[in-house]
Amino acid sequence: MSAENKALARRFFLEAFNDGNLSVIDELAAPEIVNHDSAMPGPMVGIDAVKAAVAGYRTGFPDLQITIDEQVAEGDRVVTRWSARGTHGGDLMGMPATGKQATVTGMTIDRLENGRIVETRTNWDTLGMLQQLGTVPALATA
Amino acid sequence: MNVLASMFPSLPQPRFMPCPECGESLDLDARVSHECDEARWADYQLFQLRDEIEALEPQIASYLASPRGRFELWYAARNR
Repeated sequence: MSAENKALARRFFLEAFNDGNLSVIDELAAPEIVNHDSAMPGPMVGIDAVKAAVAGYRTGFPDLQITIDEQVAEGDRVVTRWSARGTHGGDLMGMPATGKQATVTGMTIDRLENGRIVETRTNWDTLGMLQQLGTVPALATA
Repeated sequence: MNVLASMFPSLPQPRFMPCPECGESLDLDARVSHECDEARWADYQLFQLRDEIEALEPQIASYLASPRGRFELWYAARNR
């Protein structure tokens, strides 16, 4: 079961985020999925909210590519450590496109029931992204 | 140091930063040896100028519709 869960979580990253195939979310996520994203003020509930979140990131980074660095599964949960790289070619969180490429890392914990993701929690380097895009200053090392 | 930097004096430098010339995301270790790809450099520089590029054509049209622009058109046509 752990291997299947890891494969399902992996498909979410590769097919939804990387390929922009939002319809695959209907297959991978439960209708009542709750998405906790450290960059958002509160949880997003339901498949449409998750699709909107993925579409929002892909609008900001149209060439977004997420690499799975590591996965650990236990029981009904899968932890995925990932790296994301993309070019800021569209509006993101109110920031107009800069054309700059950014690389960030993050971790996602998915909880699955009956072969679908019912809850997903992601913590990622939002500050690093903002620094790379020039929204927040990145101070030079001493 | 700009205003934002003074507001966030203790922020660490992220591991990756975009090249200021071509926008490519670079690891700390790669920054010293990085050489910009010419095509990427051109794309990035054009992207930074996109607003000016988009505004150029309407500005030319506006100029050519002005009395001075119309005279320039007439003068160029006469000398052709």
